[in-house]
Amino acid sequence: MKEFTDIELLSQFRKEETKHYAFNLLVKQYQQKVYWHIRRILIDHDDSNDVVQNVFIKIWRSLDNFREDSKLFTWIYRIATNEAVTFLNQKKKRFFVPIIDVEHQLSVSLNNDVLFDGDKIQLILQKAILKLPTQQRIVFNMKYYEGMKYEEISEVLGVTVGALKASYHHAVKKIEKFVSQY
Amino acid sequence: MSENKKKRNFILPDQPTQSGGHEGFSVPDSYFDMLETDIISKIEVISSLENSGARSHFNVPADYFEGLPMIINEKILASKQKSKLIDLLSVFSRPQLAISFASLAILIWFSISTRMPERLALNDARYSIEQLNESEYLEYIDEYTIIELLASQPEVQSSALSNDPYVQYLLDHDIDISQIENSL
Repeated sequence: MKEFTDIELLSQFRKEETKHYAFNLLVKQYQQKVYWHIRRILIDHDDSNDVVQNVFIKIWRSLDNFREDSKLFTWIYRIATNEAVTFLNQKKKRFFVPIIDVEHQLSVSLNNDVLFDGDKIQLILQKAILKLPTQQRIVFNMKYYEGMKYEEISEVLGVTVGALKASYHHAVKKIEKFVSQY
Repeated sequence: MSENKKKRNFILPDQPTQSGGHEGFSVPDSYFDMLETDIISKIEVISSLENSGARSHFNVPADYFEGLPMIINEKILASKQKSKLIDLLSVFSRPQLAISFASLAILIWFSISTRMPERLALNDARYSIEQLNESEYLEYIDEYTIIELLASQPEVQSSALSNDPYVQYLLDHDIDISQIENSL
């Protein structure tokens, strides 16, 4: 699929006659990246599906006000991250369960998730990642699985590169220690 | 021993393994095709609602918007006056000022209380209660009161009774207790 630049997408979006067409292109271009980013945070497919759709609806409503002070991709990722974290926090409040228990539940659900078909080591690795605090987990996913540069992650999360490096380093150590116990 | 050590020390690979889906996560078949359709159809519904002016089905009272600025101004003025009062009261939120005012209030109260007029002094002769001696007291109370008083007292030895002034009074005045009891 041909990838369109930010300028191309935005200029098409800002014309009334091509607004829907441009938005369709944007969805096609970013849906998988956004989905997998959210899925790594929320684990559950159905929850991720709901949040992904909400993210793109939010993008539709806000894209006219996008100030272009960052890349479009960074802006979209920021919305996706915030929506996923908000969803997790709401889940915690809904069930009167501290967030760490919610993530424990997610870890347990992986055992029987039909949409998780990884091998044993991948299962243990995901459980190890779920042991991390939410912010650290997101940093780890973005660096390790999504291959993003620290500078890009810093733009999305609003955290300094130094802090991100330290967070990632600690995350790796914790994961290695956890997996080593199995 | 070294094999056990190998098992225990897991080292995260530099790159994640790319076996099958995304690190074990998968999606239903044709999910992303459906996702795009779902998102687009939701956006179309939102757009059509916004374009059709669905919100205009709600009505407002006549001349509502003409009067609204005045109502808002009145409320702003009222809230400004309230905030002025709150600002005045907030003076007392400063600890030093609050302590100073409290100290002043205590001093004022103390000075008033120590300079209370003499008519309120408890040892003022005009308000002293004269002690009645027992015989005079007995003159002022009626026999029914004496009987009630006796009835309320615990039983005492006959020798104590004979020394009791109320009993003595009854005897001296030849008052028959049973007659009084019957009338009561």
